[in-house]
Amino acid sequence: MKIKELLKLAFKQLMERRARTILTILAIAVGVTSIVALSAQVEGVSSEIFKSLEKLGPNTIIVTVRSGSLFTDVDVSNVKNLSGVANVAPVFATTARATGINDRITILGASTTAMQTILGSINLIKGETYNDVPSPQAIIGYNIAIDDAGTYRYDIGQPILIRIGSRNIMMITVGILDFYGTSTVINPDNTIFIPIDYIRLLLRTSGYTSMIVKTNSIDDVDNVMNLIRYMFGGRVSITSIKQITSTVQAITAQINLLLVSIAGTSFVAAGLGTFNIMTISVLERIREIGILKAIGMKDRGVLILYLSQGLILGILGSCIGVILGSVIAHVIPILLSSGMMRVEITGQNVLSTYTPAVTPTYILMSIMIAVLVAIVSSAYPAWKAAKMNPVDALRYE
Amino acid sequence: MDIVRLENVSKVYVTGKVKYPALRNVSISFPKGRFIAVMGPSGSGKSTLLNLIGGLDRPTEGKIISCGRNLEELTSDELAEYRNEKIGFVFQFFNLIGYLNVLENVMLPMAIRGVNEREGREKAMNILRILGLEDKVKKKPNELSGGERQRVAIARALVNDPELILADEPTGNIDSVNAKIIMGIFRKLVDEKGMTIIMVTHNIELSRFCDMVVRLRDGVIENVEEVSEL
Repeated sequence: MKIKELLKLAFKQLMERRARTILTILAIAVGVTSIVALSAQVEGVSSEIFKSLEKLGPNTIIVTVRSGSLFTDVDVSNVKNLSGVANVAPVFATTARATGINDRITILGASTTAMQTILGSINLIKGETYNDVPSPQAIIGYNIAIDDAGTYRYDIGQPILIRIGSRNIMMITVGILDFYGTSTVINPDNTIFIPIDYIRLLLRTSGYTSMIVKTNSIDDVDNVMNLIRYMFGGRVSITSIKQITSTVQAITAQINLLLVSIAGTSFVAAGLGTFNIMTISVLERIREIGILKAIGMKDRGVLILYLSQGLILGILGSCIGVILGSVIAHVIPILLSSGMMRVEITGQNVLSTYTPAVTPTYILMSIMIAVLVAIVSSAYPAWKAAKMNPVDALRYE
Repeated sequence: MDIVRLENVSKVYVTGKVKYPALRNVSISFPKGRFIAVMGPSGSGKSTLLNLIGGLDRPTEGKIISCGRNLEELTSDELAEYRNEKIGFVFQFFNLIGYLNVLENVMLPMAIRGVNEREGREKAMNILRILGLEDKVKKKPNELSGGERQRVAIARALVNDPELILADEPTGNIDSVNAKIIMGIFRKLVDEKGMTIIMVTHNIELSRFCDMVVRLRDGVIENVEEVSEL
């Protein structure tokens, strides 16, 4: 019998028990939906992280004081003179509270050049960048300027009261940053940028907490890191974007594996369901199998007839799963950003700032698993059907 | 010329430790182009005989030559081909596939044989027309009367141009009027197409449509009679 005819017959058998078939298809679809929807979240978040890392550039090294005295201008100059270093942007970072904001925010004293290095490009929705002079000017992050309802807490020209430790400082808003989203080094949306010289003046310090170092090329990164480590010893922590990228890659791969494994367990249930349905189907059709054999269908034909039912269930289940998974993948961030779920880092709901990425790899993988599970689950009932003695099958009541 | 020859055929069914001999050392030949009735009381081995000739089961001992083939030598796949190409089965309970319509049921043996759909459809329609079922092609078996269902089963049995029709109590589940119609069809197939039909029946009245009656009792052939002798 031609495969096309066998598939038609298999489809008709499945359609004869429509409700049962639909339930089996849905059971298979659950696994595919989970994999597609969950992997899209992890892929989406990691893609956002990689984008922010890309903005910084893979040739960036972040050096932060861990203990002891802050970096001096001499330290900055020494690093700048190291072989392979293209540029050094010293910054001063601290945490503070601002009026009208519940969570702690970051204050980053940085020159406009340093800002550019950190942000990639300075995208303002209002106002302009400050002049690099020691004056109380502030460029404020999106989440500080605009509340959840979308109205401005602070506008251009308005004063903003910041409390650093026990000191209250009044700054004038000169610029409002656009929404930057997920970021790894700092969170621009929850940060107030002020001129580096002004914060040093205010806090009566001549030092810097961190240096953003750019090397000439990616190949220089490891060498420059070693030189900096040699120069400052254990009092600084040195991180390269290259390192962060590979760490994030490793972490997201692990998270994905975990999520896919969890989602994969639903395939066990789907497999058992399919096995159950196919076994019942074969039992119900013993007489019919006898008829098919009596009119000349070979054992192989019967085997393919029931295996192809598993195949049809698997394909339909995975198609529905991919569609549902893609829809749910895009619904999850909406639920997360609506505040139904929050994962806060430095006061920001990081889950609200990514676009889920439904990737062909996971679609293909989940389809393959679903189809394989359905076929494997059908194999034993199909084999039993194929091996049935036609006379016994015809006599079956 | 014989179409089927059985030589010392025995069939023993084993259930647990109990052995039940259904046929005992049966040797018989069935001539080609005849309508043969196999009669006997329940448990005499009539259906077993039919199943063995049809290649649905294998004998415990003995040799069966049918349509020029030694069934003993055939593999499971070759037996399936033999059933598909050489044999047409007609059962007491019709044994139609419930989710297929009349046309699809009749086309099924051709689809199994690999005949293309268009050719199969044309041939099935022809046979259904001859059997007076052309207006029932889209109906499902449960929408037909018993007589109609049996005619569909006959159409299915004929569609691959078999050499031999094996009918197991074909009128056992239909009324006497339809039984006569079915017998008329069988008679015509033998007389006009030269087909061979072996029919198992309890009904002595139906034997008058046949050319020959084989009587079985306790798995042994009691006698073989030409109908004119009856």
